[in-house]
Amino acid sequence: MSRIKISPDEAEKLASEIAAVLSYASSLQEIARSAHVSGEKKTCMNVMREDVVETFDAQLILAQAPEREGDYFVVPKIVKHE
Amino acid sequence: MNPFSDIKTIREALRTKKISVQEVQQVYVDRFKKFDDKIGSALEIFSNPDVPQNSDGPLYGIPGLIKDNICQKGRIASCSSKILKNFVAPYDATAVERFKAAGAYSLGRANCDEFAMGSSTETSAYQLTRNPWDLERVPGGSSGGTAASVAAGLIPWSFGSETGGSVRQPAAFCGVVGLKVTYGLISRYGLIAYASSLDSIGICARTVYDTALVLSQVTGPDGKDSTALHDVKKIDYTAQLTGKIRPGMKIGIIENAFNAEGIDTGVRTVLDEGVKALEKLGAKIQFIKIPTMDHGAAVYFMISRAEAASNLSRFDGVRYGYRSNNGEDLVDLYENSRAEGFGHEVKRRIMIGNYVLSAGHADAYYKSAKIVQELMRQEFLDAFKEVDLLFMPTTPCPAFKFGAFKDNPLQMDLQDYFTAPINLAGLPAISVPCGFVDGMPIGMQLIGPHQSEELLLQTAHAYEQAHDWHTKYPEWLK
Repeated sequence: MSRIKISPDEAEKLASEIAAVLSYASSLQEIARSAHVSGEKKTCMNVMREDVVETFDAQLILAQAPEREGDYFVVPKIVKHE
Repeated sequence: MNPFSDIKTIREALRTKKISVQEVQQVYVDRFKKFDDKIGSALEIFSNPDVPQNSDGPLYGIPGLIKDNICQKGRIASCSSKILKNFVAPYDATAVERFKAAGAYSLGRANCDEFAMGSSTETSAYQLTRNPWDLERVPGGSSGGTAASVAAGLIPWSFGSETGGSVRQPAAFCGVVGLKVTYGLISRYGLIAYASSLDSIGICARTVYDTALVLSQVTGPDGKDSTALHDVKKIDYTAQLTGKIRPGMKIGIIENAFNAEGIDTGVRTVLDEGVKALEKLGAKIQFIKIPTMDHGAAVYFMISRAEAASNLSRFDGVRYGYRSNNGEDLVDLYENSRAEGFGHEVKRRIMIGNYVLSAGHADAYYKSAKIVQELMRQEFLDAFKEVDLLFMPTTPCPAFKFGAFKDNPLQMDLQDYFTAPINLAGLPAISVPCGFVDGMPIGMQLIGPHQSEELLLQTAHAYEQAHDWHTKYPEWLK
């Protein structure tokens, strides 16, 4: 889900660290269940504005690409051959 | 020129032409050369900083150091991560644009925890930053380079960023002033996101006055950040700094935080003195309870990790940043680039975030955290019906030694107990030096209602002026 490859060693370490955090946070459910919070925060509002066109130099952005061909980003093949 | 001068003094020397802008620049460039190989606060000192030629701006000629997760046009913004090692910011953050317009300039990039995730700057992919007061100790984090550079007299002010205390905690550990503003007071445009609903740019400086001076130039609405407060007027935050606190001021000590288990006894003594000093200045002191604060760190872990998982999904090795050469297809590219580009702490937080947002777990973790966050916010707002400001420690202990929490990352995370609730409630807070324990500086924290920065700075300034903590610096850095 996180799109991060991990080794078995790393997985073991992460599992115990993550379990510790989740267990620390497990009390929240109980508190939330008995809480009476009245809906959404009233202080939130949408801030709207007209769109303004601003141009970036596309080359500046493309220059950061790890691999490119002309004005396109290059990635490895997406479909695996069987 | 004394490198530990405050901005006010440097500005006066510049105005009366006792010193030139170039000379000021040279003083600090030389300081970095001389001392920063020991401290490690900067990832880069620019060989060609954008020093303004002429300006009548209020910060004309005053250099700052900018945390590595804030975009400076044409400069690398790596977030102290390998995955953004060569990423060059294509634009200035709005706050950067604003201090430049005021005549200030950036001398370089400050080291920090990777993607601002950490409390000791140890998770930086590049280097350790050491506490100028004791090189065996951490500077705090995540804005460790920010606070250490100011404390060491390498720079007069520095930008950091806050998500759960990342400016206040290192400021306290290094003995400088650290300000976290009301959520939205400073635009987040160009601040590389960690947890967007909590993130804000913060300021470190040697004095409260200097902090106010910089703040006055960088606030205001921003069409590029819809969460920036849209009704903010430009305020001169130095105007209220009279050395006196507002008559009739009531300060509430957060009782459960003040008496929290695990507060170092030395820290407690120093803070007791701080309370007495505020009383002497005329403040009425009373005790207040914010009971849900005890769950603040847990709430913070859930919400910040959830938002981080979402924000950091953009780093995929396709359009910019690190790309792995291993693997055959696109999924390999994503998974390997992220595996090789991110450090352990960042991976841990992304995974926690995805877990607490996943179907079947979101109700128990993320949604529960959002409800408790709202309860906590309400408790703070209720407290401000009774008192003008709140008071508690910034940290439970002085700066700790490197590796102190190596085997127990949860204990490291709990550094956030005194600071993260403030981000969760969107409130402004300031950490001000208030004494020393075993030669290490301690900070006290004042917290105000939303957009109370003027009152907060006024009170902190009055306290500061009644003491001489802000004039102290480590002897070896003379």
